Amino acid sequence: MTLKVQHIAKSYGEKQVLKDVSFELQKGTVTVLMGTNGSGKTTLFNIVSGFLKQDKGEILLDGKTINQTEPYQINQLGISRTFQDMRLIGKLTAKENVLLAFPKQKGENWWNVILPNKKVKQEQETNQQKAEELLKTCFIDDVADHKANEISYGQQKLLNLACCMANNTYVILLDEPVAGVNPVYRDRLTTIIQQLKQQGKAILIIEHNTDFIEQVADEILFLNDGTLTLFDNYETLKNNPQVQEAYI
Amino acid sequence: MDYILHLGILICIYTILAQSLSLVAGYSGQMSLAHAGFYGIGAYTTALLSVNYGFPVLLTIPVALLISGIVAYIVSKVAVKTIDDYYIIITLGIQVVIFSIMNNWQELTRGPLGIPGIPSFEIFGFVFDSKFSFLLLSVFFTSLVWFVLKNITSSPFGRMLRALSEDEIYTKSLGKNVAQAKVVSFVISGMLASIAGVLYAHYISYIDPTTFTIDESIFILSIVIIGGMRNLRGIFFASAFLVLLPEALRFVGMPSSIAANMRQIFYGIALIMVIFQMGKQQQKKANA
Repeated sequence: MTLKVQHIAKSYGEKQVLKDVSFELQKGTVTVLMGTNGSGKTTLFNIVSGFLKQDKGEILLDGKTINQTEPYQINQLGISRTFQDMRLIGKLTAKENVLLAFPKQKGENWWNVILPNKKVKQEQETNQQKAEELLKTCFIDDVADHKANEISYGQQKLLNLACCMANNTYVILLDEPVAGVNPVYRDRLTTIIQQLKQQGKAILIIEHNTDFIEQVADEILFLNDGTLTLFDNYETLKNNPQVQEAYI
Repeated sequence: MDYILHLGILICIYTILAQSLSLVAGYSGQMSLAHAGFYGIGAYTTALLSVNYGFPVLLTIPVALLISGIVAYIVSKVAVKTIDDYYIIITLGIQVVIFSIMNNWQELTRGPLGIPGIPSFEIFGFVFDSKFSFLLLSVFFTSLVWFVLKNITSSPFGRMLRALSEDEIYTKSLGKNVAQAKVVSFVISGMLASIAGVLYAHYISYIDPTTFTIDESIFILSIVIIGGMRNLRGIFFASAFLVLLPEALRFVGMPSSIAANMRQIFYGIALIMVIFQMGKQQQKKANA
């Protein structure tokens, strides 16, 4: 499954944030999206995930346009995302958050849950096991029954990834997954992202942490002045005069 | 003894109303003030069909469920596009519209004169005309509603409702059809409330619009808040508490004129609690 973003433009009033943005995500690759603050990285995420409509351009998932599609439908088609600000359901436990993320559950159809239903019960039992395994994979099985708003920030970041894994989409957009976490949690998050890559997911990450970028990036997109430039690795990006100018 | 049975029946009716409202106000986070309207739709549907056309209760119940479901569907399709204060105002408006129809469409509802002579509840020839038999019937329907709501709220659908009440955007990002879930919860809630209306009409045998006013909606909401927004058992105890409170106060020597008005005082307290609850929700959203 490939995601093609073609000639996206977006303005907020007079200010044109994205001018002509095009890129492509392939399965089994990690692409990092860099850019200065306010360059439009999160705007691009919001457009791809359907939370914001672009002024121009097209987004194609496996050749089919997903313009004018609702965010929940975009997720069902195969694109999931995390948010820069921590978004989890704080009053649900870590395990319940993972259970919530499983797609297309029979038990989410109201007609299946008015009365007890054997199929729903079986599905719930299977999902419980899967959720426990995912929490273990993400190093947070010890807080499975803790409320999401009661675990540490690093654990919340890991839980975010566990939810992404449970959501099981082809394309994953991660908005600053290692921002504000200590090196131990960063290594854990890196391990999980590499696992997702091995599973064949196409991953787009907004990130500023250079160590992390060097570890995971297959390619880097640099967003500046509303347009994108593609770099093969962090070294070439670092030595690019345009990039240096943007950060100075 | 009859009076105690009467209080038991009222507790059952208010438990159905408040528990069904908790699906919307508690689980999916939509503060509705239209619940007495659906209570009234149930009562008027069964009253009109049984008095005017001689329909048996086994037929009036599905019709009441259907009509309240349709009305709830139309209301929620509009209300779902709004949030917070706007949502409450829309449901308040619907409550006023339903009350106005009951009060002013005199050819159909007889307006303020109400509908007298509603026959007793009868199933397969058995007439629930004694207080004791009607209490058993009420307990049956209360248990049924409780059972259905327990199933719904402990299911993945219930989990989705709890999630969307806390963070709609995040819930959408996980592929959940938030708008549909809100509509469904509102429709189920409205339909279940109509069951209480059917019971009430056949129990009292006379209905008029004054039973289904905004005051009643606030009273039902106050039961939900006192019992716990997502606590079905707590709501049952809160129903019992609020129904029995005026009686208890009379027993401790408080004049009945004051004891009866305690309900009004609880409305006030409930309203303050609603505002606190809304404040908390908005704070949470602001922090998100």
